[in-house]
Amino acid sequence: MIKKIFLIVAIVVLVVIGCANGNEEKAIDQKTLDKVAKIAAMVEIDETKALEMLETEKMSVDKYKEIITAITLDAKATDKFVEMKKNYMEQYTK
Amino acid sequence: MKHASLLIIIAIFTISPLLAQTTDEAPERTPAPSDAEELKSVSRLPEAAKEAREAGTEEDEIQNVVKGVQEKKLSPEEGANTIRIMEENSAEGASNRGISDFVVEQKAKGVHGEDLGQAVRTELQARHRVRVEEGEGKTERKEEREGQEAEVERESAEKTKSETKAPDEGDQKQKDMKKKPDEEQPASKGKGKGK
Repeated sequence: MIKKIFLIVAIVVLVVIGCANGNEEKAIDQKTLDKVAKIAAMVEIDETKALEMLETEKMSVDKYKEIITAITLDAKATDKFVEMKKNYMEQYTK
Repeated sequence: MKHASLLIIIAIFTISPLLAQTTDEAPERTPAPSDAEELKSVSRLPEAAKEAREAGTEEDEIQNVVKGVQEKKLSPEEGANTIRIMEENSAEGASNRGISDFVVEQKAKGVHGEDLGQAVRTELQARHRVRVEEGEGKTERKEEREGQEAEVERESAEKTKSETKAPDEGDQKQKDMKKKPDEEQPASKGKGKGK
């Protein structure tokens, strides 16, 4: 009986961890936002350099597109991204 | 034994999302020169959406257009262009309801690129014209009524003016007649005194 209960608890815990991982994948973390904002800022200045940055980040154009559209769907993330992009553009043009 | 196998299966299910996450980071294809343009237009999508939100564009419409780009129904450039057109329309105080569906429909029909943008503009202009005409219909009827009332008022005012002018002119003539001899009198008096 105790073994059965232990097993059920273990299953529940593992399922919860799995779901949490899935949600983390959907949310755009600060690090990713920073990465794409840097690339987006560079695109406006030097397209070739931006593509190089994309390569060094080991990110495909499709992945970049996926992240940007996910950001655009979230109003708060969009505001953050636009602000960060603006700041990076100022940095790059200096 | 049974428990152990069950735990292994569950462990595989939990680890699989993590594995998927790591495989996503691997480069899917090397960027080609045409990727630069795509990169540029995608990068401008958040700015277009931000400006549209600030202009008061319907959130549903923005979301649908972005989802269209996400699902590859629209190119990033077409998406950004549509959002900008919707923003301009919102700035004029007009609604964008159903425009995202219209864009996807047009794209499915084979309209793309600048033609798609033009189609969206034409659609919005047509909707605006219908709304203005409906509004004009109402104002025209109102203006007609007001015009008729103003005409009646003008006519009555003219009538009263002509009635009041006629006696005034007669009085003026009489006054002039009276004044003339008075004006002549001092001159004749002066002449008499000098003699």
